[in-house]
Amino acid sequence: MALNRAKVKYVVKKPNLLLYLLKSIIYCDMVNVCISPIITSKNLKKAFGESTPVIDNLTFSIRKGDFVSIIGPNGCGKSTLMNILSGFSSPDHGSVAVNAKNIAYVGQNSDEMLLPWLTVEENIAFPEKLHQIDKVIINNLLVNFKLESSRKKFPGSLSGGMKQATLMIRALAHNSEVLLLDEPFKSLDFDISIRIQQSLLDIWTKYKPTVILISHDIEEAIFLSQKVMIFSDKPTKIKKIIDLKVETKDKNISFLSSDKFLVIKKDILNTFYEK
Amino acid sequence: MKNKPLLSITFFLFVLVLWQVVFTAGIHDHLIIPSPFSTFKSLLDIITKYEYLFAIFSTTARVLASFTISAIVGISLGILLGRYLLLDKLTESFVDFLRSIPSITLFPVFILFFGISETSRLLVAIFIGLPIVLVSTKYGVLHSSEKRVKMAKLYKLSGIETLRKITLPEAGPYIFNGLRIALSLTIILVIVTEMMVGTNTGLGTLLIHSQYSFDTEVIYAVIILLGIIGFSLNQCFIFLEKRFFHWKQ
Repeated sequence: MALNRAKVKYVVKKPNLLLYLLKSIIYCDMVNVCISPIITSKNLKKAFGESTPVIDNLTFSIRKGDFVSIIGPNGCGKSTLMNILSGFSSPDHGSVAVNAKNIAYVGQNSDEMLLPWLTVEENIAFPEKLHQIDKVIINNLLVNFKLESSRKKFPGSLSGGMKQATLMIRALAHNSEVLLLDEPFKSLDFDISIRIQQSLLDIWTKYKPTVILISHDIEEAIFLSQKVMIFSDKPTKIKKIIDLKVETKDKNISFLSSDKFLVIKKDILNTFYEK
Repeated sequence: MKNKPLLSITFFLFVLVLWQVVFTAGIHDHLIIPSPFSTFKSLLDIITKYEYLFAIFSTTARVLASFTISAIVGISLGILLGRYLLLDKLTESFVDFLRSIPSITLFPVFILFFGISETSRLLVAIFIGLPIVLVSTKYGVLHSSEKRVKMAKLYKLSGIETLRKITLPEAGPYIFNGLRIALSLTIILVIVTEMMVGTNTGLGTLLIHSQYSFDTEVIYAVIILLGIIGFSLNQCFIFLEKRFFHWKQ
């Protein structure tokens, strides 16, 4: 019996120097874009009225694909900074640059950001129409955040937590390059909060948007982000930037009670309370 | 309350019975207070017989024409004033002043300009309707949440898209209320101008002619008809409000 054997051809490629050079240049360029900052602020200053400026001479930069948490005392200017970054208010001095095509923002006050004349679904799709968005991702998120049965409801009949969850889905569903989150989990109960945090982490791992998260909860900040920026009281300055150096795959339930977690938490608390 | 229609109907019936009692007791001359039965018979005539139907048609046409113009021009100008604050500051006091002038006093002025014609009549109705729609629209546009408009910047929406998707829907309830008030005043002014000089058609004219010929049943019938029309329109507005603006608490 003659067996049919597929003929496999092995081709040896001669190295092409020109192509190699071209590829290295392109690779370098790609790498450059990857590590170049996507959000920069320079000598930022913002004051309300005659009193001490809330932000004074703040300079920092955040690289593309970073997940950064901001922790600081109340009134130190975190939300003000977020407002400036998202374009809601402008600084008195200095400059800010956000080099991204689409930015998503989730604030603390869900009523201002939701459109009361649109259903949950339509709000999530905004500003596109319902038929133009990726239904699969939205479906998954709706089910995950327990909003499946509220799809066609209006914001007026939702609880605060559900409204906040809707805004999170909107932020996650549009494939934004930058996510600006201002204490989004503040009014959510424990269960929904965990689900959303998990979804946020999954989406970040997969699509690597740049995320800035203002958090009042240190544990949440450690769990989600790679870097924690600790801000001082007003006029706010960055006290310290702590690089957590924890792989995302290591971030699970056991991580929360590990020694490493406690060490990081201690470090953050010390920095937070030192003068 | 679930029994609201029942309660309302009961009260209407009570008023009718009271009317019949007053009529039967002969408190006033039967010419001044006709019987409810003959009044309703006249009402039936008005809505079925051709010569009367034309009166209803004329008034309706005038109301529709002037209201449409008031609505379109009023909303457009209102959006403009709401958007360009400088224009608003410039014109605010003047619009307020115009609004305070009783529209009917301008009827003689319009007659001087345009003669005794439909134009003069419609202008009186537009003069009262337009400023109301304008002011409501402007208010709605100005008061749309600043944060939401800034959100439009986040999504890189153009000016027109922001207007269409955020500002106008939010101003909707205010515009709607303005239209509602403007419509009811437009109807009143159209009928008043019909009662004055210069036309042979319309419900106002019918009222005046019935007064001269002592057809009191017709007078009352027309008044009741106008009441029914106004009531129905109001119910329509309530229905539309529930359907489109239920989200505004």
